[in-house]
Amino acid sequence: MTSLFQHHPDDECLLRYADGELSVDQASEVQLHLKVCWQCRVRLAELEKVVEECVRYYQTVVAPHVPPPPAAWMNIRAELAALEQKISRPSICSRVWARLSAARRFRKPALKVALAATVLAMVFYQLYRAPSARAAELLQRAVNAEAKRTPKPRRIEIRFRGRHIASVVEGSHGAEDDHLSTEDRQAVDHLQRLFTTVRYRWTSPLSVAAFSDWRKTLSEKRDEVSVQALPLESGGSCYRLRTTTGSSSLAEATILLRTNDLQPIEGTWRFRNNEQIEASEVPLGSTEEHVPEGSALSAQSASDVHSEVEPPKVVGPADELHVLFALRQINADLDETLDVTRAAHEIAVTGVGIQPERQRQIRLALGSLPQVAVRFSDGTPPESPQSQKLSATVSTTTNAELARAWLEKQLGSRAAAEAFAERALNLTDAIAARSHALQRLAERFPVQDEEHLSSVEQRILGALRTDHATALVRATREFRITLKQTLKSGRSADTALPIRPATSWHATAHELSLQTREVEKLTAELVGGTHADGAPSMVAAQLQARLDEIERLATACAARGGERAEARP
Amino acid sequence: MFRVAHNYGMKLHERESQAGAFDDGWEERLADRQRNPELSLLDRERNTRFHRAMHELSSQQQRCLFLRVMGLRYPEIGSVLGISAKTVGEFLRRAVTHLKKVCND
Repeated sequence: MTSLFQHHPDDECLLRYADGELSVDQASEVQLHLKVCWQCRVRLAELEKVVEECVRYYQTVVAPHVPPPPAAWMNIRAELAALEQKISRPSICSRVWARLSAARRFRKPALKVALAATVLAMVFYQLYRAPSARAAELLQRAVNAEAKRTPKPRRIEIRFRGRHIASVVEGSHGAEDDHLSTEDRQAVDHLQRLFTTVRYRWTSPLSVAAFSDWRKTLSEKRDEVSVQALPLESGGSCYRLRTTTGSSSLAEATILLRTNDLQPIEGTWRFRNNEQIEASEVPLGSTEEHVPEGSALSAQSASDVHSEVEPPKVVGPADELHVLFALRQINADLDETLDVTRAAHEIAVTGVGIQPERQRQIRLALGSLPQVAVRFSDGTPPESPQSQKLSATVSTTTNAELARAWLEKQLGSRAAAEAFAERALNLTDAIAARSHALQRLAERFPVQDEEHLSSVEQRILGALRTDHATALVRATREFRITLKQTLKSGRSADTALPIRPATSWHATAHELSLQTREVEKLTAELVGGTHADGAPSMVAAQLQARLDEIERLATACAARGGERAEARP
Repeated sequence: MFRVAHNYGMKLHERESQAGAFDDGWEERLADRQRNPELSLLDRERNTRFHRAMHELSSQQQRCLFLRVMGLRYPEIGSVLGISAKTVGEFLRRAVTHLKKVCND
C-alpha cells in the first residue's frame, strides 16, 4: 500500500486545496490522492456543497442588505493585487541563486560565516532537539521490551508527603490493599485522583507505557536523557529520562530504566503545586503471599493495560460550565478567538493566534479539570503596514464630517473630540464583549439544560451571569457619563424607548444583544466612522436612550441571577 | 483615531449586514418556487437550519466566510481583518465544519 492511501488530507487541507491556497507541490499531492481515494473525493464534494450553500445564502440573504461601497473602495482589488505582488516571495531557486551570488562577492568571509552558522546549528540541534529524539527512541525501545517481557507481579513502594506506602502491587489499589491503614488508603486515593487528572495511567505508574502515553499527550515538552550508575549493591547502570512541561499540571516526570533490559525501576513525579511522588520497585520477598491471585495488573501482558483503563465518562453541560467558569476567572471567556465546544467525551478548548504567555495561563486554569482538551494553533497577526495603507484609502461621507465637526464644537477642541471618540469606541467594545458573553451563556445553557444542573452548578451559572451583567452595567454607566458631555442641550423627549418586560434572563440576554448592536451602530455614526442618517445631536440622544435601556436590562439580569442564587438552599 | 474608527466601522458593517439578514423576507428569498410543496417544505427546514447555523458562527468566522464569498483570497482577507492568512484558514475551516453538519443532515 502506498502512502497515497495511508494519509488522507484533513478538512483544512482539502478546503485550502479547493480554494487554491496550497503550494504547487502540496496541491499536486492532494490531487494525486483524490484520484485514488473515493472517501476524500466525497469529502471534497461535501465541502463544495457547503461552499455552494454559503454562496447561495450570501447572494439571497446577506447581499441585499449590504450597501454599495464608497468610491475609494472601488480600487480595492487593484490595491490588493499590488499588495499580493509585494508580499509574494520569490521561488526557492531564485532565493538560493541570490544568496550564492551575494556569497561570491564576499567569497571567503561568507563561506566562513556559513560554516560557522552550520556548526552552530548542529550544536544547537544536539543540545536542544537531539534529547527529544533520543528520548522518543529510548521510550519506544523500552515499550517494545516491556511488551515482550514475561509478565510477573511487581511490588512498588510509593513515597509521598514523608509517608512510605509499601507493598502496593502495581496496578492494584482495590481489595488487595486491605492491609493499608486508613491514612495510607486516603493518600493512595488522593494520588489516584492526581494522576487521573493529568491523564497519567495510575493503574501502572511505574511502567514505560504509562510514561510514554502521558508524554504523547503533551503539546510542549523538554526531554533530558542521561546515563547514571546504579547503587553498588545492585550494580550496573541505568538511563535517566526526565521530561518537563508547561502544558500539564504534572510539571515533571522522571523514570529510571535499567540499561540491560530497559525495565523501569524508579520514578519521580513533581506536580505544579509542588507535590512530589516517588515510586520504586522493591523485591518480592516474604510479603508475596499477601498478593491475591490475579490481582496484579503487571501479571497481565502490557497489551492488556489499555483494557484496564476505565472508559471516559460522557461530559455534560455541567462540565462545560466548569470550563467556562475557570476561563472567567482569568478573563479568557470574552476572547473571540477562544472556542469551547462540547463533544461526547471531552470539552475542547481551542484557540487561534493566542500569545504563549496567555496560552500558559489558560492551560494552568484548565489543568485541574478532567476531560478537557486544550489546543492552540498559530495565528500571529502579521505586521502589515499595507493594511494601514488600505484603511487610509477609505473616504468619509459628508454626514460623517458633520458629526466630527459637531463633536469638536460640543467638546471645544479637536483633541477633546478625538479623546472622546477613542473612549466611546473602547467602552462600546467592552459593552459588546459582555453582552455577547451573556448571549452565548444563554445559548449554551437554555432553560431546559439549566434546570438539570445541580444547585452548586446553578449557582456557578448565576455567578457568571451576574459577573457579566454587573460589568455591563458598569461600562454602560461610564459611557453614559462620558456621553453627557456631548448632550449639553438635553435629550429629546421622543428618544425614550418603550419598556418591554423580559420573561427570563435568557430573553433579557437576547434583548441586550440586539440593543448592543444598535449602540455599536450609533457610536460609529457619532464619532464619524460611518454614515449617519440623522443629525449628530439626534444620534447622540438615541445612543443615550439605548444605553439607558441596556443599563436597565443588565441590572435586571444581574438582579435575576442574585434572586435565583438566594432562592436556592 | 481615524484608523480605529474605520476598523470599527468595518466590524459594525459586518454585524449590521448580519443583523439585517434576520428580516422576515429571507425565507421567501431562499425558497425555490418551482418545486412541489413537499420539497419546498423540506427546503424551508434545511434553510432554517442553515440560517441558524450561520448565526451560531462567531463574527470573525462570518467575516472571513463572507469576504471569501466575495472572492478575496486568504492573504487578502487577512490584510483586511488584520490577521494572518493561516488564521483565516483556521476560521474558515471551523465555519465550514460547523455548516457541513447542517448540510449533511
